[in-house]
Amino acid sequence: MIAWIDAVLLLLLGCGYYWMPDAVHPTLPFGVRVPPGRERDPAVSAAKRTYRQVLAPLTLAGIALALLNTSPIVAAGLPALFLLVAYGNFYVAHRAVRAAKLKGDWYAGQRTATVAQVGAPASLRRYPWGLLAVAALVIAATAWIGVAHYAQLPAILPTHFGANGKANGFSAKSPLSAFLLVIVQIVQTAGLALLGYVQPRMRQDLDPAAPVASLARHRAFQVVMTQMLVVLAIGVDISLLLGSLRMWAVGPAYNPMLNVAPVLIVTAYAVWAGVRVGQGGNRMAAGQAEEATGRVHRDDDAGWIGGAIYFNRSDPAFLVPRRFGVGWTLNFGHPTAWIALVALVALIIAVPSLRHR
Amino acid sequence: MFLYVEDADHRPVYQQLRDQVVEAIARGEIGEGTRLPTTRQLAVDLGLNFHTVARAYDLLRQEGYLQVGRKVGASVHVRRGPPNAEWHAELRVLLAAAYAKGMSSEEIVTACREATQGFGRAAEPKDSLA
Repeated sequence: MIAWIDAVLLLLLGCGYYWMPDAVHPTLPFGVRVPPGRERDPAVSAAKRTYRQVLAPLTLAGIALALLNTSPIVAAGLPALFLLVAYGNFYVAHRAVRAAKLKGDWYAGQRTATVAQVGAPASLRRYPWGLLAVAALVIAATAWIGVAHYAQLPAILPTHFGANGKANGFSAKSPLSAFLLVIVQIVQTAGLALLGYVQPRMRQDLDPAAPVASLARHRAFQVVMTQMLVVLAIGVDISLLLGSLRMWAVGPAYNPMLNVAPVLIVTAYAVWAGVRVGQGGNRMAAGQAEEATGRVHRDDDAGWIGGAIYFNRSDPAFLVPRRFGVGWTLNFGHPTAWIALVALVALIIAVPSLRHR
Repeated sequence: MFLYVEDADHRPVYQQLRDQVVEAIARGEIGEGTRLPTTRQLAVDLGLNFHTVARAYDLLRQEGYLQVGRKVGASVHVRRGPPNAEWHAELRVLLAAAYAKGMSSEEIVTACREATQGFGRAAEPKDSLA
């Protein structure tokens, strides 16, 4: 069972990373800013080719390993290892493009600029309240079932299940241990819902070469992203609902490993949504042509470490769009980013430890 | 309307912002009542220091183009009258520079006409722009 989950996860990751170069803005190949006209430079195309030629067999090897593996420890470590190697592959491509840019002095004579739109802020009406209501319903249903069965629960609750479906971790019955997953539901839903709410208000990295089209794409992207985040929350909530049912021994018995199915489904949807629209809506329809502005996006590689981690003390934003991928990443030069990270890690550590009280 | 900050521009950033707002008002792209983003929001959007944007807004307010409220942010409100005390003097110097460099009077007037070609008043008071 774990082997299949592992294999599916690696497949999703592999596919995601394979398509990633097409998800980002053409002027941002492998986390390197290039001026318009250099998107199809031979150096860029070569880097893209090599990246995919390495990634495909890597993914297949990973999937094969996952299916043949029998050790849970290896199964847990395989995705992490894959991510590490995938990053290495990205980094090689990143360096190649950067070297070509430096060698060819691609920004010589370019009129670089930053652009911002002056006008209506993102509308609150577009927030997917209906979807959020669905998530709230799932949580309420979980809590209601828990409350209804609380009295009949045994004094010792199974709170951890092994790969074979048998319980191997227990804690004494208490409101905290019984409703632990409901608490997780609330926290994660609130977190994702909040991110969905906040992200349209973050800095939009508009393209000075075509600001009208750029703005339209960003707007459409933000709507899709907010929707996707809430759907993700719903999937996790459903999985946690199933987990709670397992814990309370409500409903038919089945291998608890199947509980991850909703999460995997919404993750696959999230990946698909991301690939479909592209980062910042790059892959969405262009709209009508606009007159040339003569300006190009500033060469803003500075602050990006290894093409993936953003560290910029003078940037007031603590969350910025990813350079390679869909979504956002923390500005580690901003104190709030560290606070958020510590809070997240503390939460992840605290929840399992609470189980074993 | 879009605000640009150009890296190669010799003008300081706050001056670029101020000039663009003034030109936008002259072209009728923004008009009486148009809301501009808050200092913080614009600074974030342009990746600038908060103080740079504050300086630009302050300059525009002093010159009589903006009204800056506490919670409502900045909105366009033009105080009619001469742009600033030095405008005529600066204009004379600007035109003198062109003439001294060899442009004829006719060419200068043509250039002025072309510059004012795109000017117009905003259609009606706009609350904000889409």
